[in-house]
Amino acid sequence: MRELPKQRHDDRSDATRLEPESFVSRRRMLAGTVATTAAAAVAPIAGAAYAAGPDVNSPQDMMAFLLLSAALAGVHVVNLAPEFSQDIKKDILDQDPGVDPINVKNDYFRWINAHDSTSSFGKLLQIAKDNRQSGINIIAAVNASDDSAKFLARSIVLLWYLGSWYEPADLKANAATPGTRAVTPSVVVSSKAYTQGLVWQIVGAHPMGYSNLQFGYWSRDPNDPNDAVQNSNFGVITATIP
Amino acid sequence: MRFNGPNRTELAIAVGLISLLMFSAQSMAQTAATPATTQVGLQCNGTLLLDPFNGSLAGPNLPAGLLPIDASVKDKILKSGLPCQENVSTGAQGDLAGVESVGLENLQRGFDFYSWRTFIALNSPADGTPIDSASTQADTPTRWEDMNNFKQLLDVMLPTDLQPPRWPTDLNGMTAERERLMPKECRDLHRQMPDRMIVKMIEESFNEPFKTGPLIDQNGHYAVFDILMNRQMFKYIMDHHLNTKAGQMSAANSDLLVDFPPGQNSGAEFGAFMLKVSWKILTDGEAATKNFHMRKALVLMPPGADRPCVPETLGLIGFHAVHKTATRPQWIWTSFEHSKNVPDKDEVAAGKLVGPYNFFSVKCQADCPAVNATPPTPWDPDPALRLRFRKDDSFKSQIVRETPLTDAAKNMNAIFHNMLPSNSVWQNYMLISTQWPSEFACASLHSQVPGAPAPGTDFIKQPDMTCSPAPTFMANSTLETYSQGDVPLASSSCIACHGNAVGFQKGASAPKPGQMHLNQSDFTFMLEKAQ
Repeated sequence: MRELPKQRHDDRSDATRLEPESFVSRRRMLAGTVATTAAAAVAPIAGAAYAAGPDVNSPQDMMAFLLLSAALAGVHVVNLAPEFSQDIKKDILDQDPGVDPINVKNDYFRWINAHDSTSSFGKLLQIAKDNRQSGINIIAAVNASDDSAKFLARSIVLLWYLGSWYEPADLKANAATPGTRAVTPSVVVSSKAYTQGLVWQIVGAHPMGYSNLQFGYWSRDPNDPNDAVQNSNFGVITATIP
Repeated sequence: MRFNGPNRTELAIAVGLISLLMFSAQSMAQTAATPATTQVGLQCNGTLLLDPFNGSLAGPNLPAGLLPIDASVKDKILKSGLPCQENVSTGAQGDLAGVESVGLENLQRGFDFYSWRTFIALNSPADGTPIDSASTQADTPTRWEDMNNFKQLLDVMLPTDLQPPRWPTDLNGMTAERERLMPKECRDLHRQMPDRMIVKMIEESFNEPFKTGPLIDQNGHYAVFDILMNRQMFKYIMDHHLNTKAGQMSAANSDLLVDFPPGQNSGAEFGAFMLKVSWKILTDGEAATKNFHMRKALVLMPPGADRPCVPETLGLIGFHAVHKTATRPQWIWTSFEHSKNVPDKDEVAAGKLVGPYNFFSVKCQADCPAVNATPPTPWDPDPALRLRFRKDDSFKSQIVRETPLTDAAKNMNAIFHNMLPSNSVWQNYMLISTQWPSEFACASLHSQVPGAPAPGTDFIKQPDMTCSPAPTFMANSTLETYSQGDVPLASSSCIACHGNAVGFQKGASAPKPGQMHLNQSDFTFMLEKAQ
C-alpha cells in the first residue's frame, strides 16, 4: 500500500499534521509582484523549453502553477490550495496539490491555458519548476523573461486577486501608454471566481452580494491578516477561502 | 523548497474510551407511558469506530465483493449508537484498503459514515431495540421522537404566558409539561387520541427558508416541517435566558457570544444537536404501503382567526441532523430524504424515471407546473381546506433534484441499505450528503482569552467563519427545494446560510470603540423564534 499523505484534517490522537509554511515572506513576495508587473528588459527564459502543453491533471504542472502563483501573488501556497499538505521528504513538484471543495486553482489553470495566446503559460510553469527552491528566484526569472510571459504573469496575479481575467495584451498596451485608457477590459471568470478573489481576504471585506464574514463584522476594527500576534493564528493570511 | 514559517497549533482529540452504547429511554414518543425514566436524554458513543468497508467508494460501482457486509461488522455498526464526534482523516478509513485517492474524498467518506451512523442511531426504536430487530415497523416510534430525547422548538420558544419551558427528567414530569402545552384547539382530539404526536405549525412549518414558498405533494397537500433540539441545547438556552426575547435582549446578555456545547469523544459528550424534519400528509393508501416512517399526529394549523387541529398520518420525507462537535464548530450537517421524493434532473432528461414520486408527476404531459417553480400565491394554508393547498388541487409541485448524489454517497447508501433488513422502512431513505467545514485550521481556531467559556469558539479572527464548507452547496429536495443549485449565496449551503443566523441580543450598531456587539447565534435560527 502506498504511503499515506500527511493528515491535515486528522482528528485522531495519533495524527501527525505537517503544515506547509511560508518559504518567502509576504512582504518580499509583494515586492516581487511589483517587480514582476513592472515593465522590464527582455531576457531568455531560464530552464528548458516547455515541450508539452500545461496539463491541469498533472500534479507537477499544478504544483508549478501554485509555486508560480504564490511567488507572484505574495501569498502562501496553502491559501491557493487549501488541501495542499507538504511532505518534506519529497520534492515539492512531486507532492499532492490536493483537492478542496472549491478548487478554484483548477478553474484558473484551465482558464489561463485556454486564453494564453502566446504559449507563455508553459514557459512560466517551467520557470517555476526550475526555480522551485526559491520564490525570489521565480520572480527574478519571470522578470527576466519576454513581455508575453511577463504580462501573462501580471494577468495571473490579477486573476488570483480579483477573480477576473485581464488580457495580457491589454495590460501590455496599458503599460506602454499608461493612463490613456479609462477602463482596462476584464471579465469575471465565474461566479465562483467572483467570490474567491484574494483581495477580499486580505482587506477583510467581501464582494458585493456575497459574504461569509461574521454577522456584525462591521462593528470591529479590520484585522491585519499578517499580524501573527493579534489577528491571525497563522501569521500569514489564513488558508480560509470562502 | 524551504519552508520556514509560523506554527499552527495541533489539535489532538483524545479518543474516548467510554462506551455508552445504548439508550435506555422509554418509548414515549409524546405519549403517556408508565415507568419513570432513569436515563436522561440520549447518550452518545465516544468509542472510535471507523468505516471498515474495503475498497474505494468514489467510483461509479461498489467494489467487487464488498456486499454483503459481514454479519459481525453489520451488527457492530448498527448497534454502535450515536457518534459523539466525527472520526475522519484525509488518509484512511478503518480498513486500509478502503482508502480513496483524494484526501477530500476520504474526509467526505468519513463524514458520510458518521451521518449514516447518526441516522441509524436516531431512527432506531425508542424502546431501545436495534433498528434491525424483527419488531421494528414503519410506525415504530424512534428515539428522536421520544420526548425524553428531543424537544420541539415551539415548546421552548413559548408565548410569554406559558414561559418558562420545562424539560423534567422524569416521565410524569415530561407528560405533565406536554399536557400543559397542549393547544386548546387540540385538547378534545387529544383526549380521544392520546398517543398522537403534536405538531404545531407556524409559517416556517410550511414556507421554506427565505420564504421561498410551500412544497405541495402530488395529492395537493402541504409538506410540513418541524424543528427540534436535544437536552444539551435546551440547557444552554435556559441557562442563558435565550428562551425569550426579553432574556436575549437583557443587559446580562449584551456581551454573550452564543456558543453551544460541542460533542466530543473524550468524555462521551453529546453536545448540541438540532433536527429539522419534513413530513408528508399520507393518504390511507400511502400509509398502507408502509413505505414511509409514519406517525399519527394532531397538526395544529398556523395562527389565524380559525386554527383547526387536524388528525393526520404523517410520513417522514426529509431529515436534517445537525451536530456541533469540538472539531467542527460550524456543526456537521447531515441530510437524508425519502428516495421517492423527486427524480434527478438528469434522470428526467434521460427519461429514466422510476415513479411515482412524492413531488414530481411522471404522467404530467401538458399544463404541468414549471419544474422547481414556487406555487402560486397565496401560500398561507386556508383553515377551511385543512392542509390541502387548493380546493380543486389545481397545483402540485413538479420538483427535480438539481445536483445528483455523488457516486460515493450512492455507494454508502447501498452499503447501509444492505445492512438493514430487506423489509425495513429505512431502506427507503438515502443520505444526500454531509456538509462540514473543510478548513481544519480555521475550524480549530479557539479563543486565546484566558477564562473564555467552553468551547471557546472564536470566529472573530476568521475572514470566513464558515471555514470552506464541503460540499460547497447542499440541498434537500423537501427542505431547500427552491434554493438548489450552485450560485454563491443564492443556492443552499447549510453552513453559509446558518452562519448569518442571529438572535435578539443588542445589535452591532454604534458600539463603543474597541467593543463588539455581535448577536450571532452560533449557526442556529432557533433563537429568532423567541417571543
